[in-house]
Amino acid sequence: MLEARKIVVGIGGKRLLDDITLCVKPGEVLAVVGPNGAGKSTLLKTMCGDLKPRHGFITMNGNELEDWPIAELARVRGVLPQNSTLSFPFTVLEVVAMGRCPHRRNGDAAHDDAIIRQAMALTDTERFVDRIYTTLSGGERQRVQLARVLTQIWEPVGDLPRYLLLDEPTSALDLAHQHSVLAIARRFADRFQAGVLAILHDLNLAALYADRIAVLHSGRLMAFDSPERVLDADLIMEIFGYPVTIAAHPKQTDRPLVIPHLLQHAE
Amino acid sequence: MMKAALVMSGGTKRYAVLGGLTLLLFVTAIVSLGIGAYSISPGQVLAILSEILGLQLPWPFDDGHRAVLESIRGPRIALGILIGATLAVSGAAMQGLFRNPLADPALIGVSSGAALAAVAAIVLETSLLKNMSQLLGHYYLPAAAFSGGFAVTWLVYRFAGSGGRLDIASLLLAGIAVNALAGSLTGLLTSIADDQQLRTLTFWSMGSLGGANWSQVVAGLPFFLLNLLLLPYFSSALNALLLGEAEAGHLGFSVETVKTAVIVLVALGVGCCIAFGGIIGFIGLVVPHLLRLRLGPDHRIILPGSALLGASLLLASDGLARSLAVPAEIPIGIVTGVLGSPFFLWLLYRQRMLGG
Repeated sequence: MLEARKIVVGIGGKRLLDDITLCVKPGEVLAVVGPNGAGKSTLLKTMCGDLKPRHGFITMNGNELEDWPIAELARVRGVLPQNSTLSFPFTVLEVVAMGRCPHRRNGDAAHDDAIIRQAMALTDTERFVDRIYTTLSGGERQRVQLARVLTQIWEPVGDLPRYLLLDEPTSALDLAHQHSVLAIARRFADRFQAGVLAILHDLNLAALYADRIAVLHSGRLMAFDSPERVLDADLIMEIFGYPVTIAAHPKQTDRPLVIPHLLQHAE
Repeated sequence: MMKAALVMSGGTKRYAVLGGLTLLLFVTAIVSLGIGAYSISPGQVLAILSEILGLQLPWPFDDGHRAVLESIRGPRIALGILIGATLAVSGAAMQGLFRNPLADPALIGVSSGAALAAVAAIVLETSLLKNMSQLLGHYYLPAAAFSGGFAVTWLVYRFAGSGGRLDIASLLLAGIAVNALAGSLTGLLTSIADDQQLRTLTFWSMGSLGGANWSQVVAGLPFFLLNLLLLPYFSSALNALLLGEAEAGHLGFSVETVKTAVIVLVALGVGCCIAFGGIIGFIGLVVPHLLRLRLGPDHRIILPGSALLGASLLLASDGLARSLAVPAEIPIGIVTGVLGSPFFLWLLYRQRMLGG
């Protein structure tokens, strides 16, 4: 389990996260939603150790994050950044292969190759294996980065649960790829019993793929439950300040569908 | 379609390129050992070298040839290889660390610090630092340059680091400020130098392998080797750093350790280069850039490749420096500058034409 216990994160006098307790269980997809500036990325950065909480702590599989040797952590946990600053002309293959860095000690090139190949097939990036990364579009880059992170935690290390943290993994993607990325996350959770935490903007993506949704607002956790319990018209009005109607999904009847109303500006 | 054995095919290419560059360095070294005021043919060079190994080759040579090779050209070529390799590897590592293909070891203050200390040592030799000069003898100037380079790098490093984190953007800014300060102080000292001192420091600031001897090679060897053998160890970490610092951490690299280690190794190596060869520009900038154009940015091949190509280019420049104006020598920093800058501009132009 990846768990945040009563964490408070602040910069200067400003509280970015206030007393947040939540957890990602192995085998579940947790979506974190909330308006801009709610503290979603701060939460992810704290959960992966980039930011230190002022109070409270983060544990992974029962041990505090700070007690994990950094190299060991890298073998069981992958983090997909919101955007990557890579400006050197690596090929796509070289970028994806970097995901194997934490496993280099067991150096088996053919084995690494097989994993890289599968991750690239899964993320639909095989077509540009030899392309220069910096020449790809934003969405293509995002999928290549996902392939890199997947190769990192592709195989089990002992019987330790693995975790995948995704910071807005669908922000630059077209409709089909948005769903394919979340389907991959879903599959990692179902098949490998990995715990997935994904920051999402689209409430309907969260409703379709997540087991639980955490709603953040101004650094506070406003709701943390299953999609059908969390996605409520009043709560969404309160948090996002926007009117919606909640319906049942016509195909996925167990999942709610969020239908935004038309916004009419006063003349 | 994906190629078979993706990762392995990269390895084969790497060995082929490194093999080619090794051969280039070998040829350049043999030719360099021969050229100059007293000419020795490559065959004779090989014959003399083989004799040391107890082999006989069919090229006749006399004691004069051997003496020139052993006591003048030998140490000069050895020092040239070490300096060229160290400058190029350090340049490549700095470019990786700063995530900028135009970065240079000078950014962290090592060159301006070494220059300041060397100029101070020259100008104050007969007054303030007289005892120092007598104590250190031939090592007086190299020791001053080396410690100056290291001290100023340390200063820049301290300014950029806080709370156990080193901020690369602050490192760049602190480097610019400290470089400017060191430059002004160097100018101040230059303005009070007498004519003889001016000649010495002008010559020094333009670089030369002219005074090379074996004891310099031996004195510098530990620092050169630390730089050349340990920096490639950080290749994968430098690759990961190009993704971003947080990403490198998530891939299991201890980012702060890597940054500190790279800066210390570069300061040691480049400090030593300047101590024994003066200021030699453009090798650290052009060599990694050139290799990256052909081989991509993977540090696992760029670092060893830079060592080999940097050594070859410095030997070639030194060969030109000693043979263009016989019997005089042109300072090597001028040769690398005159050849390097137009070449670099051409690279830039070509890149703009290709990349838009």
